[in-house]
Amino acid sequence: MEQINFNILAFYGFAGLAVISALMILMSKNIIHSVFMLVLVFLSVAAIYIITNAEFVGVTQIMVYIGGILILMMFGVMLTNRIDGGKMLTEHRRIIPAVLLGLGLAFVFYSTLQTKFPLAEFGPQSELDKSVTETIGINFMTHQLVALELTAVLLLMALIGAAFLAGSKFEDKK
Amino acid sequence: MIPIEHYIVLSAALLIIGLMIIIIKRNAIMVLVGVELILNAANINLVAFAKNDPLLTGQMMSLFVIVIAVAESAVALAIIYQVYRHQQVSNIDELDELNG
Amino acid sequence: MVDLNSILMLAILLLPLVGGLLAYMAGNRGGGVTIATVFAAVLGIAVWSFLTIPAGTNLQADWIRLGEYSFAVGLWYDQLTGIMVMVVALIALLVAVFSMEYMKHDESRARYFGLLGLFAFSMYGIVLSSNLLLTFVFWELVGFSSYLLIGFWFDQVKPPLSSFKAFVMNKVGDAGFLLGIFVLYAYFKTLNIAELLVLAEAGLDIPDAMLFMAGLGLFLAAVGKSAQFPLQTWLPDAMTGPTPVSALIHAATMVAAGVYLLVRVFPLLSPDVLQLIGVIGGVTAFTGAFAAFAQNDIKKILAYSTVSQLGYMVMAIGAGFPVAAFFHLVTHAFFKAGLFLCAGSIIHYFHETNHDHDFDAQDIRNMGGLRAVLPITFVTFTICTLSLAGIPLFSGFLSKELVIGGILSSDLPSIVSIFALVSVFMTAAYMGRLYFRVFFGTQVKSRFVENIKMKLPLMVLTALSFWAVFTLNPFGSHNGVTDSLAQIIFNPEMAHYTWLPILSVVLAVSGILVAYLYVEKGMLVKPVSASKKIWGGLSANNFYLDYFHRKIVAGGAMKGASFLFFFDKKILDRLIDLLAKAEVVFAHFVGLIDKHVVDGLVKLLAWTARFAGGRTRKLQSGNVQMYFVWALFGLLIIVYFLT
Repeated sequence: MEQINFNILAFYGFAGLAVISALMILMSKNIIHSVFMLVLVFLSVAAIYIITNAEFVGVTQIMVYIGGILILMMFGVMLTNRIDGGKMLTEHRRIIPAVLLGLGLAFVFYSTLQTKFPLAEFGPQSELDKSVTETIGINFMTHQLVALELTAVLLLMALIGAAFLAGSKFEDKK
Repeated sequence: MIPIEHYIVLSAALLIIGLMIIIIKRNAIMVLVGVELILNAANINLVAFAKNDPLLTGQMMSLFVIVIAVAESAVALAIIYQVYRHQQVSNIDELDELNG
Repeated sequence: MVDLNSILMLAILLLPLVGGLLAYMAGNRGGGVTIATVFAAVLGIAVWSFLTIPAGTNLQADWIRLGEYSFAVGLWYDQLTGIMVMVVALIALLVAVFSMEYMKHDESRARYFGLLGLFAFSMYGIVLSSNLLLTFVFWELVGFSSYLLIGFWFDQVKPPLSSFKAFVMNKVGDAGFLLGIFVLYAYFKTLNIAELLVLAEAGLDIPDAMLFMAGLGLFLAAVGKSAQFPLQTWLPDAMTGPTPVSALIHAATMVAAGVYLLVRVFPLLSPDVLQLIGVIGGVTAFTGAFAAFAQNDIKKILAYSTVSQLGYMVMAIGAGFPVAAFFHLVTHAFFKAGLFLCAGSIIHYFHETNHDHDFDAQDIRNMGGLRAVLPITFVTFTICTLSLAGIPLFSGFLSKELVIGGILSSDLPSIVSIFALVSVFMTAAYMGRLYFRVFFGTQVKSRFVENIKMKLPLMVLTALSFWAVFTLNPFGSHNGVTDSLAQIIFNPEMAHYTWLPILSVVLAVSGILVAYLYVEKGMLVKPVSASKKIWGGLSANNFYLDYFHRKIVAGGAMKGASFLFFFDKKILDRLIDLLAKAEVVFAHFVGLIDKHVVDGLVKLLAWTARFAGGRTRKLQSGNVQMYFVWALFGLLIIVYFLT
């Protein structure tokens, strides 16, 4: 019981951290702050994965998101804003429609969770006869092989495309 | 044992915050940040439901989502960069050449 | 399941495709050798399969499963298939060898040889398919690859137009094919040809009208592909493609596909359809032969001759003698391919020796005295011409006798028999005209040595135009080939006419004689030029069928429209004019009311519209994020109404 309590506590802690950092991204006008807050969100989501018996996904999350996407975004920020020592700020617009929509969606989710949820009838947590990583590895090479290959091709195309887009100089027509 | 509703609430919260970021922020990079948040919200659901699946299909789907998110953000950043270089604009709502 | 026979059949089908790809990748230098090697291999396999594979071997696989329906595809092999495969393989090989020489200066030979492979693949597909669905797939593929080959020189003016025309004309037929397939599937729940034939033998439980529709659809497919009246106009235009392609596709194989299909599904054709088929075939044979008179392009003459000969085959089907049709198909494939390759050889000679750009290498008025220049071509052309004209000792005589005998002993209208017999005379005459124009006469030039790559195909095709290939008796039409075919195809006993061979030989010889006297001796000029005045235009323009398509079918719609326009303008407008004058008087009264009451309403409406427009216009702000807001808003509304 001690173990489970600790798990739930950790879940609440990380979930709270994720939501609070996400809210800070929403509130803050400073782009650099926002991106650093995004690190916190990703880290706490990774922690939640690890609590949920998904070590492999958690580690991937840390490696890919924090190691890759965030760095990419920092570069993006640097490249698309004039760096002159001042703060990099962004403005907020359309606050009222955003808040209204957010409330509307929250209401939709709230009312959905209020109804008796067939998802709650899931069976007990299944016992794996191998470790999570091993299961994922085997499944990737058997059931999901086509998807894996397709993803690889997609990734390659995206990288070539990105390199081409960022590298090419279009004629200035003005 | 963490109830599955908790995960759903967390992912719903992240989803709504991500949507609001997309709508509110003017900077293109921040819009991308919102999209990443939404993808994370979806991933949380996938992983949570995979707990009861001996084949771990959900976890694998979340791995695919991560990979595709990488591709998406790389291409999106390349486009943002190119637009910035071309028009010296980094705010999305200034790109309104298609307005009616 | 995977035994040797299946492997052989799959090899015949797939080798050309692989070979085509290889030839394309081998580039301009190695493409010809590659495709020729592959075609030779296919010919070897075809002969071997003919000797070893038992009739009725089939290979089947499920293709699409839709609920409880499943569509199968499969291959089928019997002797009919075997003979057809061998004919196609042999001619494809010879054409590939010939092309290596003919196309040696072309910049994109690799593409050419690749396309030959693709075409052969699709043709074998039609021949081997056991199933109308698969046949249709390959049918389209054949049309497509023929489109590519006709338009091979797409940087010139004419080829793209004529390839487009061929494609469209074929599509008309294909629509019929689909219709036939739909009707058959609706009533029999199978498209397997063998099963359909068994059902047909057992007595069909299908309304007569529907059976007529199905037969009509399948026949329409053959009309398109085999260039029958009134869709035959694409074939002469298709001569803008490379000449070896004309020999392969537009003489021997693709145009024969329609006849082959009819032979395959013969028992499904109802008597009414057969009557129609016979008449259409007769009209085609006659008009084709007639149109060949006034042409001056060597390839066009041969093309119209092909149309006419295809008409014979279709007539034989209509008469109820598919064996005769198939036999004529085989013999015609050899001698017509030979004639086309001769034409290719002649054109090649002019291309090699005459570099004048305004010189038309295909115009027979520029030719003459080639007998001494191109000896092998001369011999081949002579023999193939005699075979085409139906002179005894040559293969064309045998098959043509069979066909005409069939027509006479059938219950087709007698006009069809007259068409058939007159066409024999005309065939001999226009071929004679072409032959004497080209090979005799005065413009003797220095001897030109034909390349071995050109000689060899010509000689093989010459050899195959002799009677002995098919039967030992040069006058008897019952022979080994037809007898073995009769076991698998429905073949009724044919009435025997002893006077028929004599009559047709007399007709053929007199045709050649007339041509000889006219071209060589300059006699008969007066009657010919008199008839030229009357018939020349009709013949030169193929009965104005192109004009018919363009003017009547396409133009008819325009004419109708302009008539309606005229009616509108002259009569309706007058009435309206009167009405209008009356109304003007009335309008002055109404105007007063209008100004004050109605205008106010209209202005209110306009103001409302502008107001709404102004509001909604803001939605299209070009602001992506606002679009997103509206999209989500719409989603919320949908969720609200759904729950």
